[in-house]
Amino acid sequence: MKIKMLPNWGKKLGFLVFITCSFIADYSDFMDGLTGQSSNSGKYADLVGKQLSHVLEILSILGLIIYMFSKEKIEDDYINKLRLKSFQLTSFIGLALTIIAYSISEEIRLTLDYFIILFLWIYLGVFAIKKRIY
Amino acid sequence: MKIKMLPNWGKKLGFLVFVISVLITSTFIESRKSFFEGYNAGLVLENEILYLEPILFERVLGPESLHFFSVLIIIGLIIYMFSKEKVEDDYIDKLRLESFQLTSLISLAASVILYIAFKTMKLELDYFVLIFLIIYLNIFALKKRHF
Repeated sequence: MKIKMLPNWGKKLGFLVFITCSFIADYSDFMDGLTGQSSNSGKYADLVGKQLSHVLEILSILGLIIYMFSKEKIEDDYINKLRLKSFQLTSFIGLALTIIAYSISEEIRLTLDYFIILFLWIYLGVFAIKKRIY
Repeated sequence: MKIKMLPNWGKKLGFLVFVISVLITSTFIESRKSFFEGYNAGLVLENEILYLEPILFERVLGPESLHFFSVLIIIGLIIYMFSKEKVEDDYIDKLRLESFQLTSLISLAASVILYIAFKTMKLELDYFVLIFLIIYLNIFALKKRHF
């Protein structure tokens, strides 16, 4: 099974989309953490709006996905194999973490973005390390 | 990276653990209640359902052991997943890797679509684990037979 991938400039595009959207969407949360207080006034959230910030969060996930689906500069069978192995390792790490958390407490309930973003970050990290080491 | 895998009898062991734990969890009051709810299309309120006596394992171990057996269901599937095929070669290895990729992509797509539709939706962790494992095992079984 061969997956059609975006050309190499997709990396830049995805990165750009991710940075801009996550910056706008998470700016107020980040400032809350930095200043150590929860600002319920949310001047910034009012400016962006709740609906829009959800759209921006989705866009930042899409940015990461575009990045994930972009070709490397040199694309060969070996890179392809590394990609497949990264998927496998990511699945194992994700499964292990989830099962450990589940066996500790079955009460934990998480929104879906945790899973998506953790999965994408672990995958991108594993793939980047594998690409450089091997 | 080569993963150490269990020998082929792990498939039988994993399957056995899975089936037994499913059977045991289905005898618990909570599971039987859920079954009745589905059976009556959710029309009967939960407290109207006849009082159910704990039977078998629940009577001995108490209702808290349900979680233990739910974890055992997952462990059974994991053992099954990590067992070698009868014939193990590079091609099967590749099929396994490709199945992981396809499963990851399917579950990512499903999660992203759900996240777009329902921002505040919260799920328990076993949904993710079970869905991931079942999709993976099915894809791998299909790939093994087709290619």
